[in-house]
Amino acid sequence: MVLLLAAGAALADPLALRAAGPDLALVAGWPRQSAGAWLSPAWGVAATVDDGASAALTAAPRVRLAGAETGAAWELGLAAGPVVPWLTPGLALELGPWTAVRWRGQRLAWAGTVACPAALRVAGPAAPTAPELRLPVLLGTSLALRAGPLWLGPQAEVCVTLTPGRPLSASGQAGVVVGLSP
Amino acid sequence: MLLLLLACVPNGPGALVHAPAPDRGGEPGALGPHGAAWLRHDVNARVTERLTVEVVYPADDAGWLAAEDAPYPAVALVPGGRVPLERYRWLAAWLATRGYVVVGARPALGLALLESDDTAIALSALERWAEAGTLEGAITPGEGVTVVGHSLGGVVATVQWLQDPRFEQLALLASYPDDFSPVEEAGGPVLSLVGAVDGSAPPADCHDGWLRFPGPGLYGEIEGMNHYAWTDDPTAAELAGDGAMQRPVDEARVDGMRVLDTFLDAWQGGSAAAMAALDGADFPGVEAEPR
Repeated sequence: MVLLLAAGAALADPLALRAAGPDLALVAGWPRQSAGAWLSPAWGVAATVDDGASAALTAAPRVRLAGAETGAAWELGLAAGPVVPWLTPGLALELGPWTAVRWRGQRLAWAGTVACPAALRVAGPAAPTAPELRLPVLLGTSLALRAGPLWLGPQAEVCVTLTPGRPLSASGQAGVVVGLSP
Repeated sequence: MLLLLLACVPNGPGALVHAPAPDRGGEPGALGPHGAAWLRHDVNARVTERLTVEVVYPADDAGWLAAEDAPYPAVALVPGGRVPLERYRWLAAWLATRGYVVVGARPALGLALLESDDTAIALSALERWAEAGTLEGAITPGEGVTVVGHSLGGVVATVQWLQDPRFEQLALLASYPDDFSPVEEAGGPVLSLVGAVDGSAPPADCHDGWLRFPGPGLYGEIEGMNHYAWTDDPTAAELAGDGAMQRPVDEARVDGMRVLDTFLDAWQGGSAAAMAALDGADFPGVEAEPR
């Protein structure tokens, strides 16, 4: 069970991996906090906590569809795996494609992102509609300034969530990204 | 596993609002004989998010559920926009003394409109909590519930009432449905109450909104009551945009609650006398129009 939960925390919504600029990023924000690192141009890992209510560890592949490491680029990524909500304990499976347009210079970086980290609760108490499926669309942007190896800047996302059989809900995310690039 | 289960339910005793008083008769428009206490607990909403749920319930003098008369009918409460749920605790506690369990959600940004399924999620949590722990046996899961919404919360309550079959009755306090909700297709009972000097939800608009509902119910205008008299501790900014109260708040509330109590007793309590009172529509301090 512990292994399942640990594995379950892998591959969920990688907020920090959507930040502009750094290869190693920490997002101090509300309601989510996230830390992530790009281990290679194609693979990243992240840990994300949503308002102290659920947690995830992420490993996510991405492909660059256009552009290069510096300058403008367009990428596509996919995160998939279980998530662990613990206030109403259970297990959810997540599949989260995202796309990002990025620009990275010597001292400034920007990213605009669209992400759809869908989650399906597969274990735990019944929700008003069962099975409980979360279909969010997140539009985000982040900006980062570089000083030496350090990056600093704001990140924000707006989110509309469809839960089939129930009304739409809306939420937001705001945070500060602190990052590091070698 | 038992510890995990117990960690997921609110732990009592709750904070006492009213002590029990068996000599209180519990007629509409007055507190009932039970005590009232509240508990708050966080749950997951929409799989990953946090939602704080508050329950106000009939209690003994130590704040535990008054189990001897359980299960009780449930009422769901939706707060107005940017109005914290605790500002309606007087109302929830009033109903709890009369034998109702009242559940509400505290939306993260204070806007129920942004998370309009929160009330359904809160009700599901209450249904789970009624299976074990402090609130064991408090309600009968699956039994019909009345959803009450104030102001913008009434718009959300209407959406919930239309979408979730557990919400059988709707009570709007100083509110009316939005233009996009197909209320003309719904047939359940609806109560609409508004203060005659409401400066935020004009009585004419509330009346027009109530007329769109085809089912049985009642519309009532409460003499000399404004918009924020439904809430405790209104701010200066709120009052600046509201009508001026023309009589004491407590007096207006009693007249309004007499109608709400009667509506609940009729449709959830199955009281023939309350149903007859609704049909008669003779309520002190309220200009009432039955249907």
